[in-house]
Amino acid sequence: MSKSTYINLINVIPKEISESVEFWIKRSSKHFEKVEVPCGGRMQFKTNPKDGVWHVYAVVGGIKTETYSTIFSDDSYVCRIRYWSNEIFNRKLTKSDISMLISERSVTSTIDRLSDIVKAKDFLIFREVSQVLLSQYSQQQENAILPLMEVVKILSQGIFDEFDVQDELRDSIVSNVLDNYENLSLTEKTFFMLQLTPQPTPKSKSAYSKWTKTISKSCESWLDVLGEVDTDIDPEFNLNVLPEINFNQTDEKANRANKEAVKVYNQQFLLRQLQKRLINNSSRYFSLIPQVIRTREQFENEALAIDDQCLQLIKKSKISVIPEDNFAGRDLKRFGAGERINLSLPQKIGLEKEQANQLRWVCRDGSGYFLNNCGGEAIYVAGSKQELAILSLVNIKNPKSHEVLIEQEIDTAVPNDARMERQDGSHIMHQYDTFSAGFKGEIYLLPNVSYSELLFREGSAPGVGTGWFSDDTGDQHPVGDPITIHNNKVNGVDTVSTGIKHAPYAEGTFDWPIPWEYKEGGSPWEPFTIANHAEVSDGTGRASIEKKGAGPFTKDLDAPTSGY
Amino acid sequence: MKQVEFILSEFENGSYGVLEAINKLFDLPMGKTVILEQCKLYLDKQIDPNFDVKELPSLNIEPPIETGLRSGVSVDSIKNPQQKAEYQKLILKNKKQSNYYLKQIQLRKLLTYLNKSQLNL
Repeated sequence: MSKSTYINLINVIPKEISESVEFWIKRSSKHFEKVEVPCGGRMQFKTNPKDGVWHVYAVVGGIKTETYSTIFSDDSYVCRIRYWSNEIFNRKLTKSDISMLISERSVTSTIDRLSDIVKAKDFLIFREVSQVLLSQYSQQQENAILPLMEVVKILSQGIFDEFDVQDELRDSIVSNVLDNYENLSLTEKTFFMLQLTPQPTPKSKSAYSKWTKTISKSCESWLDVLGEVDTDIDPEFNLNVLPEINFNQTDEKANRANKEAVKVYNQQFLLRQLQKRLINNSSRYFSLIPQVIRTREQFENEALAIDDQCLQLIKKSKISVIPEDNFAGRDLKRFGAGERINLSLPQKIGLEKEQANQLRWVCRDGSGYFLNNCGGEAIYVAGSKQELAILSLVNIKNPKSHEVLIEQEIDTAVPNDARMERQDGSHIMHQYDTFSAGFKGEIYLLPNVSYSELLFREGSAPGVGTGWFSDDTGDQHPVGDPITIHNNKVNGVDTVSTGIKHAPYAEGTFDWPIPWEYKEGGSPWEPFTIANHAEVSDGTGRASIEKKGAGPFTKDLDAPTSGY
Repeated sequence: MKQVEFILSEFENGSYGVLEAINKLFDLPMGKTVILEQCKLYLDKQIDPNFDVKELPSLNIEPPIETGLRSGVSVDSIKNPQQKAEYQKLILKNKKQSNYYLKQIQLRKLLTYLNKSQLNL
């Protein structure tokens, strides 16, 4: 069993050092054992001291370091030397430091060491190592000692407790890599992008709003890589047709042709897979674009602390939550799926512009997103499903605490019912001496909020007739066209009529239970209520018709003819 | 231009929401400025300044009176070929109006979104 411990030697090792370092290990109160360790190497202790405590220090160029106490309990230990730190001398890492780290040219060992750093959550060190290590790939390919993907895999595992730190880490890695990836193959580049730009989490979304540089860099690179993949894809190539293989093993020419055909097939197959993954990931990534409103530099330059008094005022203030579609009679406590809602702080708080710029809305829970999110003002675009979104106003100048100043709930609704009303100014249709009635109806979705981002349609349903209408059983109502919605009113007029029927009359009923459906964007149609088109004949020629709360409207046989 | 047009035409018929359309546009292997420029050209060309928001499409159409059938009934319920053809014509006309209405509303939504999200055209 081995156990690792770190000894910080940076405060004694001069920049130029390239030779071995002496370590003195305190065996007892009087006895020190000298160990020479080559730079980048390891100290190995083979004896277990009785008291379990070893004291270690180093001497470099005749100067003794501080003493480090380390507790050991096993027979054999490996002490890994940590060369990189700027704690005392503010010394920057050099390429030679990293070369030392990877001097063994052993992938496993180096990956182990990187993993240790990641686990130690030492962001400063991790960042420096990442940057220097990744910059290797901007050089000639032969200088890159480790397989790139191994490094990226490890680096992308660096999870730090603060999401701000996490995003800065991603910022530094992405910027560094993307600046210098001309030596990578297309496949490497693609995997790189997929690995380094995972789906943004709600937390990283808010932090990303500061890092315009990363966003734009990454977006450019997505486009570049996608463009290259597109160029390499042969649109004429049919993946359904497998390469023809000639199994004559003695025919050299045929064998070469086989290999070439399989190679081309595999390449086209891989490219299409990559393209699919790229498009998937990049679409998530690009959804961040609307949130990016300021550059990081602008943000930092303009930052001016918000004093406690102002913070208290903000905390106590009531947020103005006003939907863009603020039509009369609407429900102001709920909002429709995809609806745009203006959030703003009261003017009286009197924040300076620079101070206000530090306030951002973040979506703690919910599937919506923000537009123009700055200074405590934002447009929240509600999610596409029924949910209770929780939005928080935070001070991003104080990322460590990310203190929530105000929390605002947004109750997002999808249509769950509807009502039909006879169109204003319209009449009941009837033709004299016939069984006939009809009206023009308008549809209002419920709850009473705006569904302007949704589409509406009537679904398919078979009719059910009784008595005089028995023959109409099974009459199919076809699926209607998609119709837009304004506020909660469907942008279409329904013509609801019995048709015109002649004597002999008899009693009967006809029901058409038509499903009403909505959809948001590319999602499937969702039925949300049934609108029953209902007709009744009492046997005297009197026609009665109703649909979804409009009516019943009745016309006697001898009523005068009228249009809609 | 063809790729931008294809995405926008899919958006027009309601296959995508605004954000989905924007994401798909920016997935295209060309610069953001070029994409926005092409969007602008498309919107300029397709947005009809004479569009009347009050000319609503119908949800259900009445078949010819002689059929005696109720509004919204399937074309297949009409046996007489002449009446059937007449009903089909009415349905097609309304479908055209529905599509036109949908397209004009969708394009205006996109324009509003691009302006509000500071991806100004």
